Formats: sequence, structure tokens, C-alpha cells
Amino acid sequence: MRLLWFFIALVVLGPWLSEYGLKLASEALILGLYAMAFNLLFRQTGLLSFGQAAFFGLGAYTMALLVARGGWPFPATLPLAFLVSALGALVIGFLSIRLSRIYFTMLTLAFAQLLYAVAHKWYAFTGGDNGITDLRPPGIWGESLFYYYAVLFLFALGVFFLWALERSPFGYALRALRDNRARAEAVGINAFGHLLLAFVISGALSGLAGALQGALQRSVFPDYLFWTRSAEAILATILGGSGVFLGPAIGATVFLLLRVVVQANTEYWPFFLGTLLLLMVLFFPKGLGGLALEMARKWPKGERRGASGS
Amino acid sequence: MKGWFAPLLLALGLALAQSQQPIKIGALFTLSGNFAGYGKSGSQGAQLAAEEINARGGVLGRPIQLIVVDDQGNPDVGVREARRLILQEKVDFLFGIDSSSVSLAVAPLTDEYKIPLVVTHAATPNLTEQCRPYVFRTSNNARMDSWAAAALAATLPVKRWANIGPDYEFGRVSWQDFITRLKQLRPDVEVVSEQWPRFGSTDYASFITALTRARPEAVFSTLWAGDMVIFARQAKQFGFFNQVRYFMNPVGAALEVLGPLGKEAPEGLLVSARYWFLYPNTERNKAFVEAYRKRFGEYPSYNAEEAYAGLHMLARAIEKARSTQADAVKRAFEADGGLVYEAPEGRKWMRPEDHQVFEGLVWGYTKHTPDYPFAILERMRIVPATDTIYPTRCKR
Amino acid sequence: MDLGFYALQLLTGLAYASTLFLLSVGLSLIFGAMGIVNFAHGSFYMLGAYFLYAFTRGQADGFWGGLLLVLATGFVIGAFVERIFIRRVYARPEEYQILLTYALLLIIEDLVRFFFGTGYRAFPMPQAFAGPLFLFGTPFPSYYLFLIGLAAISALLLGLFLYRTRLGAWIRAATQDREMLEALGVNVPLLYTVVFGMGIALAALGGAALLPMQAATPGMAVDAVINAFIVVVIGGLASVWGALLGAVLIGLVQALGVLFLPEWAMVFPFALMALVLLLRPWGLLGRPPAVRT
Repeated sequence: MRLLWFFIALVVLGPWLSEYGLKLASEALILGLYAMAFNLLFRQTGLLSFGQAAFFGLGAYTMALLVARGGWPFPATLPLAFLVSALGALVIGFLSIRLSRIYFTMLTLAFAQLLYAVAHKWYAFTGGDNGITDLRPPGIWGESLFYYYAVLFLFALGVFFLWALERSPFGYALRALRDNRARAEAVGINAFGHLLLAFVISGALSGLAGALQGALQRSVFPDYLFWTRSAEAILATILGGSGVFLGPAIGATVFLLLRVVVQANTEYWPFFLGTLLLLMVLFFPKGLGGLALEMARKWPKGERRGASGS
Repeated sequence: MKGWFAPLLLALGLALAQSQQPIKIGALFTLSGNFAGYGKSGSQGAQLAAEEINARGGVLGRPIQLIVVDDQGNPDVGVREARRLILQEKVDFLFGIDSSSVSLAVAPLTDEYKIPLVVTHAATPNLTEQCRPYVFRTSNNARMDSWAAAALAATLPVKRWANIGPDYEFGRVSWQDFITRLKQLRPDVEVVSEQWPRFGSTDYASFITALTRARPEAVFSTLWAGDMVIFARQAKQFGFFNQVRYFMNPVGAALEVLGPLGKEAPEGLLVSARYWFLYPNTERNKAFVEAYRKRFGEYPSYNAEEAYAGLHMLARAIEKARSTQADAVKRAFEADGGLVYEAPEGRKWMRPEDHQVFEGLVWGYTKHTPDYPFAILERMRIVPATDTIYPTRCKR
Repeated sequence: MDLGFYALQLLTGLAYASTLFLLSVGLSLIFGAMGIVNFAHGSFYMLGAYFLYAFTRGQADGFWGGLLLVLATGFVIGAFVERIFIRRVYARPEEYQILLTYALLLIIEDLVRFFFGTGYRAFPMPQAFAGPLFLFGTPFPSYYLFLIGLAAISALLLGLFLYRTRLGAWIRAATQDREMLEALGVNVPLLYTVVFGMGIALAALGGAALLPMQAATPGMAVDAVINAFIVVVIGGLASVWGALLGAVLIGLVQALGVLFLPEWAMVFPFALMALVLLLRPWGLLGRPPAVRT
């Protein structure tokens, strides 16, 4: 189906991209994974987490510390980044999930900011705001084309996992909880357990994204944990449309490209970005993904519609 | 006979074209957010230097093309933009950088792509202590600032010191370097209080009262930018500056700070700023200030002069190397005991081991005069470069 | 002397609390009555500061007139923004509000940068507060007492407005049950415009009132909105008294915290927020949201 063609296209695209294009594409895929992880919570459970940066950063720092202090090879750090972020999500989720809506959002924000403060102040361990640098993986992992394929592979894994999750009984349970919590619980679905598991999965995938980003950028800084990093996941998701499965990934790509292109051409990029987002919200509420789907649906019927004049 | 004419013409044409091909310099400055003023100064200084260089025929006969980019003070953006400059714009050099974290994030790229980076603002000592072959800093760093401050502080008749600084690496390390060096020079000093407001705080009242309570004789601070403007106003309202004998701030004489404070700036603050436009009273400096004022309608702040001097120094190195190739420029910077350049602020000398430039630093006491709408420095004390040369772990 | 010092320290905490209150109360009002999460709140606060500077051309004697003008302008701009933009996302879920108001934040921030430039704008102390008072033998800026007074009076006036006037009663009703209000024939859209305008006016007033003690900086909007959210969440959304309580708590924690734990000043607000939310999930004075099926 469509998903498979999408990935095949990305695979074929690889050798055609320039060095810079490969870096951008890798970054877009990483941001896409991060946004899709956020959307697992947002779309399936209705939870708006403003603390995803906590897990993104945990994964990034796990990778950075293992590589820089422990001398670990980069690929080996990825499962650990995944696990550490999952653990962080377990703790933070355990404390936050019983809160509702805006309070849940704010508590996740608070925890992320606390982690940021720790990374910032624990100078001896994390390097504070000097960060941890020189994180280019040695050997083939440091090459742009290979790294792109590695990121693409992990992105595909994550996406297929989320796709399967959505169609599983677990996914149905989550949506039931989202739509009508009382009824779902009455049927015997354990709200807390389900939500916590979703939170942990989301956190773990975010951590993986963080580790990949750190190696791509060759450095990790406390700002990986800052709330603006959480906002990126949210913005990318809404831009692409949270109702469409791949919406967050599309939104992430567009968001990244926008930032790069607009920034290259004007110093007033916040104005342009803001105006674009404004137009999106007012006129394209389903996001770009939703727009694309609608157009795809209307297109074959175009001739007939034209004839009937509507 | 005409067989060789066309190829010769072609070769000449190519050589001419090559010589006309500009030397591209990608400059990263913080042009948005709270520190946009500093980035603007820096980019303006660089621009003035580029124009001057091109007016006299460029470097090695080639014009300088300056491409200025906003790094937003964000390391991720900095890395992305630096990559774009290197891979898409094909710059020969990276330049500028205000934020220390951005400079540390971009530094590994110099090794990966063999593109030299000339830093003109970012002040963390760590940058040059990493001993990278293609990273150069033509402005002074925070350690030099602290050592100069300590050299001055050692001559002051006070023993009880306190600190109020922004809670991040710059504030922390500056204080550490200062107090460690001061204790070496004056073992009798004692620390009575340390205050660490969050970087970007807008309310210092609680910190000010806590600080005053400890009754320090002198206070060291590296609050800068908006933080310093706000702190100075609030502290003045508390009569804070009347209760301490000396208030030292190595970055307090920035025009970005003294400008907004205007006539409200407290007098008698002992401040420095890496460059003060009224010192030295040389033709070179006066010409620079005049040219900058004419071009941009304002006095040059330190970041403007550092960027200006940095670009000229880079041009000097390229000329000495007779090439823009990274290793040649590196050798040019290091040769003959280290490149020397006479900047408007004075003599800049680059230490070959760590590529860090050393220069004299001017300090002074703030004073209002009718000639300027902001406070200027009087009773200036010059700390010679030799007082700020700290040992480095780099070797050549 | 010692007790005097602690009293003084508490006073600085209250002064800081006053600045936070003026910043946050509008946010709480808007969320309470309209359910809107106004991410752009900090940018109106920033506009208030820059507008005061612009209206008075940086001259201290224009201060009082400038404040009133900023209040009025804030109301007009708030009403305008509500009509044109905010209105469109009422029916939509919260994330669209966040996106919309975040977009407004970006736009306003850049507009300010475009018109006012990147330099910091400082405003001279108005003549009335030029000299310090002497409390417990220490100079204390009289302007801080003015701020404390301003915050107290604002809280009082707001309280009277909400509990003693019909419009206030409608607003309070809106925080509980919007549909019922409409069913009773109240012109809810107009009410929303008024509430949003009021909230923005208060934010702008906050920004302007703080100008003599701080400075107008290009990045102040983002910093402010995070602080505002922390205050409002601690106190409980939709509660004006909650905003007051939240502001006071943060102010006091900072004032006393720097005495005993100066190393951790940057952590206090978030740690406090996390603590409150763990113990009382709806903020201290907040109400649990009505259960809807």
C-alpha cells in the first residue's frame, strides 16, 4: 500500500541527494520520528504532552555520555538510549497521567524543565551548557549516505511499529479511552496502565530520535531538553495534521524545510513562519497531510465534477 | 600560429576568472532574540571590514564575499546553518559566532570539512582549549577577562569579595577563574557571598538584598546584555552601589548596555568591554570609529570592533599564506611566533599553541559627561596583555 | 536587625510577585471564561512595555498618561485580535489554539523587532518614585511599593468586578457553563470579546508598569509567557485569586530561596509547579473540570 511506496521512494532518493541534502533529509526523518512518537499520545490517547523534550534529551545524553565518557561504539548506544528514555517516561508518566488535560500538559512541561536544569547545572557530569561535542561516529556511521539509510531504517521500523500498534487491540483500547473514558473503564480497560504504556512507548521512540540527532549534529546540549524542543514536535504534528497517520512526519519535513529556506532569505523568519502557521490554522485545519489526502481523493473525480459543474 | 592563441586566451581568461572569484566567508551571528543587538554589531563590523578590503582590491586580488546568517543562539541551528554555508554556499571560511555553545557545536565541523573558523565573540575558554587545528579566536575570551579583572582587583584595597552572575557556564567559569587568580595574587581575600540569578532574570531585588546583607567591600559580576541593564537600574534604586566600594564587570562597558542605561547609569562602576571606542587615542582607532559612525550611524561597540579586526586579521593571514587553503592559513597564523595585527584597539597577537589572540584590556570607571548620551569611562586602567596570558594545554 | 532583614526580603518577594500577578491574571481570566490557552499572552505584555516607551518617547513625565493609554490600547488590540483570529478556533480542540496563539507570538515578536529594533529600551523612573524609602535602615525602591499597591488594587478591583457586577457574574458563569449562559440570552460572543480585551489590557498594563524597573527587550515575550503559565497553573486556572496566590508563592519562594539555596534559583518555579501539581492536580485554588460524557 501507500506506506510501502513512500519508503521505497525514500530509499531510491538517497544517492540523488547532495551531502547537504542528505543531512537535511536525515534531520527531517529524525524530527518526523519524534513527532510521530508525540502523535501516538496525542492522537490515540488525547494527551497533549509538552515534555517530550525530556525523553528526546535523555536519549541524546545517554548516547553522548556513553560515547564520550565510556568509549562505546555509536550503534550500541541506541538500544540503551531507547531504554533510558523509556525508564524516564515510566517515572514521569507514572506521576503525570492521573492529571487531566492542561494540568497534565503543564506537569510534563515542569518535569522537562527540571531535567533541563539538572543537565545545565550538573557541570561535572553533563558539561553544563558547554554540552558534549565531537560525537561524530567513527567509520561508516559517520558517512552521510550510510547514516541517512540507517536513520531511514530506524524511522521505518518506528513507523511500522506505530502502524501495527494502531491496529492492535491496544490501539483500540487507547482510542476507546480517549473517546469515552468512563465507558471504556466500565468495560474493564485499565486506563492508567494503558496510558502509561503509551507514554512509555512514546518516550522511548523520542529518546531514539534524540540519540540519532545528537550524532548527526555532532554534539548534545542542554537545550535538547528545553521546552522549545517539545514545541517542535507539537508544531510539526499540527502542521502536518495529527489526524493523518504520516501527518506528523510530513509536518516535520515541511517545518524543517520552511525554517531553512525562510531563514536563508530573510532575517524576519519568525514573521513568515508565524504567518504561515496562522494561515494553516485558519484555512487548513487538517494540516498539510489532511490537505494532501483530500486532494488525492478529489483528483480522480475531477473530470466528472467538472462536467457536473459543482 | 594561431593554434596556441585560443588556448592561451582561455587560460588567461580562466586565471582571470579564478582571481575574480570571491573569497567566501560565512558569518554566523545571533540576529534574533535578546542578544540580537550584539549580533547586529558584529555583522556590521565585519561588513565594514569587508568593504574596506574590497575597496583596496580585495585579498590576493580576489574580493571578499561576506554571507551573514542568523544562528539564533541555538547550537542545532548553528550546526545546520554552518553546514549549509560549507556545503551549499561553498564558503572558504566560517566567521563570527556570538554564542559559546554555538561555537562549540560548530567547532567539530572544522575538522570534518577542513574549513577554518575565526571566532570573534564567543568567549568560552574551552573553545581554544580543545586545541583544534582550524579554530582561531581573534577576540579575548572569558578567562583573559577574568585574569585582567583579577590583576586589577589585586591592586584594590579591599578583602571581602562577592559575586552576582548569570547561572550558566559563562558566569560560573568567569567567577571561578577570577577568584582563583585573585587568590593567587592576594591570598588574603575572602568570599562572603555568591548569587546566581537565572540567566535572563528580570527581577533582581531578592538577590540584591541578599548580597548587601553579606556586606561585601567589592562585587564581581559578569551579568551582561539585558540582565546588566535591568540589574543596574534595580540595584541603583536599592542604593546598592553606594554600599560597595567597587563593582567590577568585565563586560559592563558594552555599548549595548551603557546605551540603554543612558544618563541613568550608575557612576563609578569599574567596567571593561574588550574594546572601548574612546581608547586608544590613535589615528587608527579614530579613523575606525569615524568610518563606522558614518556607515551605521552609531558608535562601534566591542563586538563591532572585534568582528572588524577579526576579518582584517584573517585577510592578513590569507595574504601571508598566499592561499585560502586551510593548512596554509593555519601555518600563516602560527608562523613567526604567531600572527600580529595592529587593530583599532591595539596590538593583537595570536598564540600559536591554541590560536588564541592576546591583547591589552582597558578598564575604567563610569562617568557621565555632556558630550555623550551614555556614560563613558574615565580614570582608565590598562591591563597589559602579559597579565592575561594563562597557560594552555595545547602544543604545536 | 535580623527580623528587619527577613521582612525586607519578604517585601522583595512580594514585589516580584506583583509583577508576576499583573502578567498572569489576564491569562487566567481568558482561560477561565473562554477556555483559550493564550500562548501569545507574553507578546501583549511585551507590547505594553514597548508602547509605553513609544507613547511617552522615553520621557518620565508622560508616565501616568502613558499607562492609561497603554491600558486602553491593550483593550482595543485584544478585542481586535479576538474578533479576527481567536474567534475562529473556539469550536476547535485546544491544540489549534496553541498553534494560533503561538503564530501570533512569532508575528508580534518580529513586528516589534522590525519597528523598535534590537536594542533594549529603558524608561527613566517617574519623578514620584525618584528617591528611595528607608525601611529597616535600608534603602528600598519606592517603585516596588507602588507595584505591590498596583497589584493589590488590580486584584481588588477585579474581584469587585467579578463578584459585584452583572458583567462579572456572566464572566464567572462562563467559567462554569457556557451553553447555559447562551441559553439564558446573554450575548456570549460579545462577552468573549470583552473578556479577551480585558485580559490583554491587563497584560499590557503589566508590561508597561514594569518598564521603569526593568527594560523592554526583544526576547521578553517568550520568557514572560512561561512564567505566566507557571503562576496560573500553580494557583489554579480560571481563578483570579489563584493567580494572586501563585504569584505570591513564587515570589516568596524565590526571595527566601536565594537566602538558603542560592545555587538553585533557576529551578524554583518549576520545582514548585511540579510539587503543587503532584499534591493538588488542579492547582491550589483550581476546580476539577466538570465531568462530561
